[in-house]
Amino acid sequence: MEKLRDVEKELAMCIKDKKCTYGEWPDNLPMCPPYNKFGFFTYCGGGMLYLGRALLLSLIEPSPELLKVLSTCTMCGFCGNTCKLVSVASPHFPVHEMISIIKAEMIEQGIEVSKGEKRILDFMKKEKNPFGVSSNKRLQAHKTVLNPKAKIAIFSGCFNTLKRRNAFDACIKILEKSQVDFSLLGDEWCCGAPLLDMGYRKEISEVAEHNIKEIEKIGAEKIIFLCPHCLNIFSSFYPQITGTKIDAKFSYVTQFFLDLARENLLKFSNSDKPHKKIAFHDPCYLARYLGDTESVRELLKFIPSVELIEMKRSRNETYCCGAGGGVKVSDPDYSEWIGMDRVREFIDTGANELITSCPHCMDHFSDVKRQVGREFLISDSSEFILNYVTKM
Amino acid sequence: MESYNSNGGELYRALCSIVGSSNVSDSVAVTITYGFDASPTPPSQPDFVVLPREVIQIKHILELANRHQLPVTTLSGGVNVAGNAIPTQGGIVLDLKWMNKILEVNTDAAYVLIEPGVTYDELTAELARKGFRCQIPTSPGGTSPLAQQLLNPSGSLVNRHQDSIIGLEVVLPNGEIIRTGSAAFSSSGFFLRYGPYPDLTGLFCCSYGTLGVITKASIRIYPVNEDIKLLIAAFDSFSSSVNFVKEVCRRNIAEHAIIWNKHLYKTYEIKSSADNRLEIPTVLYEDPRKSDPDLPYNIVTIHMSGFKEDMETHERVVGKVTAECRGKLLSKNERERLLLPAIKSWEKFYLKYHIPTMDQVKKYGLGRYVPWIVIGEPKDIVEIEKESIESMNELGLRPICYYSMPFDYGRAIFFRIFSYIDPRERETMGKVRELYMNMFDSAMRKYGVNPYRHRWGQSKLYQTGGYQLLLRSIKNLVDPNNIMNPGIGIF
Repeated sequence: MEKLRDVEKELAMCIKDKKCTYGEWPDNLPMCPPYNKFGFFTYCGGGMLYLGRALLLSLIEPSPELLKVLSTCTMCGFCGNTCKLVSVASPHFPVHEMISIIKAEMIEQGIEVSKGEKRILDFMKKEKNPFGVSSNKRLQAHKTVLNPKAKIAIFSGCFNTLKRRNAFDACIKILEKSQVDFSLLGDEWCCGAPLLDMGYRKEISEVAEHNIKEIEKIGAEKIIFLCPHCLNIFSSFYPQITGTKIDAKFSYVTQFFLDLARENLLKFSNSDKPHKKIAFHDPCYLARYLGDTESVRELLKFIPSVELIEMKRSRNETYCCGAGGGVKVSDPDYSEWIGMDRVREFIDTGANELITSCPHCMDHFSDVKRQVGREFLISDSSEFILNYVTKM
Repeated sequence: MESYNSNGGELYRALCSIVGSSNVSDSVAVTITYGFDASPTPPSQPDFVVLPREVIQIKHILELANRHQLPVTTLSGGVNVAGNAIPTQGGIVLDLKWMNKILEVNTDAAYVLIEPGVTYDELTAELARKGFRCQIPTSPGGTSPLAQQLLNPSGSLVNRHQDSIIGLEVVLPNGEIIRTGSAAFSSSGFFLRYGPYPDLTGLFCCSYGTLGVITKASIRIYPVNEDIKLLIAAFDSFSSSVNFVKEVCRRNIAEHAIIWNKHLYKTYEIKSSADNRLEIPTVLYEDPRKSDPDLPYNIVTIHMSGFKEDMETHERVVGKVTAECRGKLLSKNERERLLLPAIKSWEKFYLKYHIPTMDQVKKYGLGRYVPWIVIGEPKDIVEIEKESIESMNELGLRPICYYSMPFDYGRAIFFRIFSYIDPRERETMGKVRELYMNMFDSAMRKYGVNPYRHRWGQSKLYQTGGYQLLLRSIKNLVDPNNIMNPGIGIF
């Protein structure tokens, strides 16, 4: 229980005020998916801290039952961003980070994850991606865009290259249209985010070290990420677990495109396009972990025919899509329930296209859409703006 | 402790049949989080946690509990730092979070009818939309107004009247549903506390869930006035501050005033260094009584509202009374220089009538908040301030924070002093508990102060003579099996 002992003080700070579960006054919007679904205090950020305290005080033993409760957390990060009591303790660990530590403690104590998660773990060990797709497939894809002279490298992410390529392909086309010289990594492995979600923190070392080596090999000055989960783990967890400082600068793809647009290196044509009403779903990792709520909105301002309608829960108060924290695998029904809630919120805006900027959200909304029985478009932000990008 | 969750899950099934299986849990992973809170109260796990949605379900649960002599502990908002809702004898925890409807905002008769799961954040938002406000405490926005007001408010924006509650709906332990105040008549609403018969609303105030489950409360609300002012005065002694708040409240100038000491009124950033050690400002290690030219001994926040014309006069009068009490009204620049960013939180609290996360909570970085609270007559509270600081100094506690405010036009003064203790320092925590107990005995004996909330259980109730005999008779009549929150230690 060493790791838990380190955060004992923070665990003891919670006064059960449940501020971690709802947004800013006066709207007070419900923000915590497991608390909204299951209702018991146990399922909110504070409740999970009490589980950590209960373990430390030996009031309960590690058990599959306990891990199951902890695994309902979608790691959306709202609790950590909003709780002002726990976050002032030292050392600074936000609530969601402590939930992740408690989960990791369960794994250390030998508690097994769900069957679905176990399968992902096996895939990660064998093929270095969570889908079990042969690593050759990605190697083949990447070989076509290897450019050792490029100053910009792309970390594409497993979802974008192995499951749903729309965002990846759109991104490549935009870069080509803007005449940006870039390269992919020679042998990209999964960033390890699924391992972090499941509580296998130690196992991330191997993938981190490999990916860092690949980045060093390519020698690029800037790495562009197409998935916020990947960027987050690279910037916050890799240095912690490997002790290595990566020289290259990191940028999220939408921020990179915005920088290009502002420098007139990315141009948009709008004249022949019809008026469009869209809504943007802020991915939790982009908005709350990486603090970027504006790059997509700013990019959209370059396209006057597009009208952005805000969802009730947006920016820092965005709501989980339902795919976070591994719940899509560990509890698909619950995951769908969250996704449906979010899609209904989108439908309420009256927009006809849902834009997001995370492959996990994209994938999950596309699955949930089938259950809604209502027609609307879902696009990744790169895929969407590609329609308006002209050649330099 | 005997477990009630046996008998082949019969009770579990019975509870599921009342509220549905998704609203009952007997899973250890769920129930344990209801078994302890931020206070040092020893943990104790309930056998079941139940989330009812309707009054009729509570009626059936209490009938079931009575049949099986199963303890029932009720949570409204669930915020707790005092161990008041720890199910020390197991049984059922009723978490009323789903009962969160604001049933009526009666702007004509100026009351609101709410369910227990409504929070201050929800209520104040709804009232703001209608141009109204209610008494709000110095507790978090997630707190239940129904529960908080039942426990006697610990702070407010209307310290002219302490009793904010008008009437209640209560499910008695035998399942009977009653209403108090004017609403006792089935044809009447909840507009009047004191009807033609004895005040039974008062019986349930400070009863800590021992007499039934309160399912509705009507609470006084007030229109938001045309002009709202937050004035701040500085004083170099606590006695001057007490005289001042007594004067401005008793003479109807201020609606509300709070005295803050220098370890509390300012926002001190508690930072973590690179090696995760806390960097604490030196002033927080000092005796709070030490004079400091830059930091007044106390500051007092004065809240008032009314018509613009009234406010202009009131502001001048506050200036006059401040000077008479040997204080100084701070200018805008002085306020900002001394008090930012705390002033920003206070402005939301006083001018917008909702509870922000006070910047002062940054001191939580030091550890867990451990309070000692009394209420007494003004002259006695002045002595209490000196003695409590002295006692806490002897134990070397730092920082020593307090705030104090008049209740009921300054007839009584509320005094809350506290420090922050690293929860890992269990020995210190034990010493503090012992110290607080001794301070309490001494304060009661020497100054005749009252315990604030039950806190000390039966040991103090026994000192109330005939009152406690009557109270126990009522309890026996209402709850003969003692199923309602028996662990709290009053009965």
